Amino acid sequence: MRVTENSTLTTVRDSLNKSRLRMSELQKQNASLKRINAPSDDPSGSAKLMTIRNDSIDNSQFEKNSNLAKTFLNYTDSSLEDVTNILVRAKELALGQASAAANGPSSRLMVAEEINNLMNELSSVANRRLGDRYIFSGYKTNQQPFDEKGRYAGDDGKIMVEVQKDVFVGMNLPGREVFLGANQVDPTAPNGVRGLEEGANAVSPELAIKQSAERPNDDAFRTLESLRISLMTNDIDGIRATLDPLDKIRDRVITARAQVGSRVQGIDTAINNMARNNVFNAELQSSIEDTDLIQVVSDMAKEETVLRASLQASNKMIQPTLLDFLK
Amino acid sequence: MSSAVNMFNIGKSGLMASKSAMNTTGHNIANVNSEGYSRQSVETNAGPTIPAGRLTFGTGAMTKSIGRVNDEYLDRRIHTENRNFGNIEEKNTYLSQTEQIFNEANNDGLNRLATNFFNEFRKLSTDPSNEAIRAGVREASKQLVDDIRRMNSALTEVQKNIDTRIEGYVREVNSLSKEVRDLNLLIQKAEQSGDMSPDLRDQRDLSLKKLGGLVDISVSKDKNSRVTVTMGGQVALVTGGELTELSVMRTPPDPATGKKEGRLDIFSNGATPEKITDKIRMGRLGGLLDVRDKDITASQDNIDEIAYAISKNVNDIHVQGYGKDGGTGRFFFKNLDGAERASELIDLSADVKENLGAIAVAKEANAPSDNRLAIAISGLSTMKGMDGNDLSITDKYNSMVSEVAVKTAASEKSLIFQKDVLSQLESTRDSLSGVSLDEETANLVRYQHAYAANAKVLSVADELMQTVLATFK
Repeated sequence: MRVTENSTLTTVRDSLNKSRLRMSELQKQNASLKRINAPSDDPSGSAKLMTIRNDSIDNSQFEKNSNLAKTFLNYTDSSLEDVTNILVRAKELALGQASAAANGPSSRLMVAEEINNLMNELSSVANRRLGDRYIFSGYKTNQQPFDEKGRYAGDDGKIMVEVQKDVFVGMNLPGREVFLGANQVDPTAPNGVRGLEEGANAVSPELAIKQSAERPNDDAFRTLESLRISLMTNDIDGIRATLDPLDKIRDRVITARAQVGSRVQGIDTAINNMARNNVFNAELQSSIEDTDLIQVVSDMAKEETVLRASLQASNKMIQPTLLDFLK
Repeated sequence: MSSAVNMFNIGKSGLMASKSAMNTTGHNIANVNSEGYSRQSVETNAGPTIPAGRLTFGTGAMTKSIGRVNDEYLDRRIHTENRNFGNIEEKNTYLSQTEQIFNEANNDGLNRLATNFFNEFRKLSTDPSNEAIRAGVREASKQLVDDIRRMNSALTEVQKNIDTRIEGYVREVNSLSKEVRDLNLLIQKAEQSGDMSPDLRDQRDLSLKKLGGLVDISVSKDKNSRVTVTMGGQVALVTGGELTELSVMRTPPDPATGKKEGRLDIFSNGATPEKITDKIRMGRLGGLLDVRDKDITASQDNIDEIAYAISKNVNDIHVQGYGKDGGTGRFFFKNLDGAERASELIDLSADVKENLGAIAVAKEANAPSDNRLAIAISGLSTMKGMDGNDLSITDKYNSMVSEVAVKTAASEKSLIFQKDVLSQLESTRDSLSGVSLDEETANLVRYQHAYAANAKVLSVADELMQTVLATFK
């Protein structure tokens, strides 16, 4: 086979080119510490990367949602605790005045005054706000839920918050079901919005608040009001008649607190899941896109040797021709 | 009869033969770097003999022919591989440009923006009446819209670049065809006497090689050594001394139907002009057309579909909702009639642009924390509503990016492979037809010695003549 100067030069040029191309590829990896610098570097890997990145963007939003829902629920919980204390105190007072022998009408008048204070307290708890949002008025968070007569102006809206992919938690309790004992809205009923039916309420199965047949008797405001009136009118039967509803209402509030507690627990589970998911994703992402530094550095050293060797060889190959020896 | 005069002639023929050999060697050396040059070699043979009694005397050497050393089969293979190489190189160039448009390596592209967009709605669901979050929703939507439009215009830009290049290549095809036609005529004239004209043939081969790199050509020779060049097996470019030129034309935009300016088409200006865009499949031109009409068009269609799906699905939900200002029945995105040009036309609705309160996520009026529609909109991010309900919007986008990435990666690999094949063939051709300076130098020395020896023959003949002439003094 004849070997011409041109083919020698082409060989030298091509092999140097190739070596430099590999070097630059390795240097790019070394500089960015990433194995994938364009989707075509690893098409299937980068497709996976894109979903992982979406996941982590989603997760950070879920985390914010969870924290916000938790704040809301914790505030609801402490408000419900206050409600429980008010009810316990009211029951205590009612029990104390429930027998004709124990106290006289004047002491009942004084107790009625205290019940009045409790009623004011109850109404202030029921109208609590977090930021500029009333926590017990359902969707109508700009609306004070209860007026001075205990009439409800909110709605039964449950503010659902996504705390994990397709896992929704209600972050509020509409005031009607807590304070008035109104029928709970069936949480499984489709709400008529496309894309929302699925997965809602997956965490924290709702503890249905028992529907009460005698609604007025379950109404915290009315019960206290009738207790107060009975005390003022010295109506001992009337006082006794409030004892049972007060228990019922207290039970309902405690059940509601349990419900809030289980939602918070659900959120904590979601947060833990997410943290695990984040760690797993970070690991996966790193294994897909990060450079194996040891590998790259040793490859570079190898490539450099190759490059030097071919440069040296080229030096020897290019120089002599017959003309050098004919002089 | 052998005479001193004959000896003069023999010496002269030897000198001539050596001189033409040195000429050719010089020509070879001079063309050591000429592209497509095949080395030439001189063939000499013995001259006619003169019978003298029972003896026959030679009359010296004759230059029989100057031939070029080449292998037509090898040349044809180089043409083919060169065409494949050009095809892949063009594809690779524009596929990697397309890949860069999607910008996904650093996660700055649509994937992140679409996810952000849906997450802003998710955030809004936690506090629907919050102005700052509403502003965030609008900002994220603007970024999404801008990025979709950026991609659309960047893809169009790449298509325009390709069009410019196509125009250039068509011009090149025309000028190369013309060269081949001209060389056909020259070769026919030069070889009428029966001699080969190696340099003209080299030039024609080079033109054919370049032409073959641009388009898929088949070449056949007629009895006058002229070549006929057909493109794609159907479109004649050169027929002996005849030339058929190509031209390009763009379908103008149609304001009546709203169709934008069409692609650049290629026409053959034969007796009956004919559109041949779809007949060109190989070579650089074929590669360009392939990327433009298949890959980029597909990407653009996908982006259109995605843009339409986002705006339609969000609007379908949004239009049911009540804004913070109490209004309802308003779109979030500008309403689009269909997927066509959606990525160019997508925009926020005028309502949302002007008024943050118009963002409607409440299913009921006058319920500031009613977030049901915000949840529904954020749920679109995972709703599998595309490609026969198999893919979500981001899935669709990601699979489109993967498709381009796979093609780019494949074209990169085959580019390297094709380059190797080509340089292998080139080196084979070079070992046969290339000029070796060592060889030529050795030949030069050889012919120089021959020349000197022939000159010596002349000088001996001269001395002989002198001797003879001196006896007559």
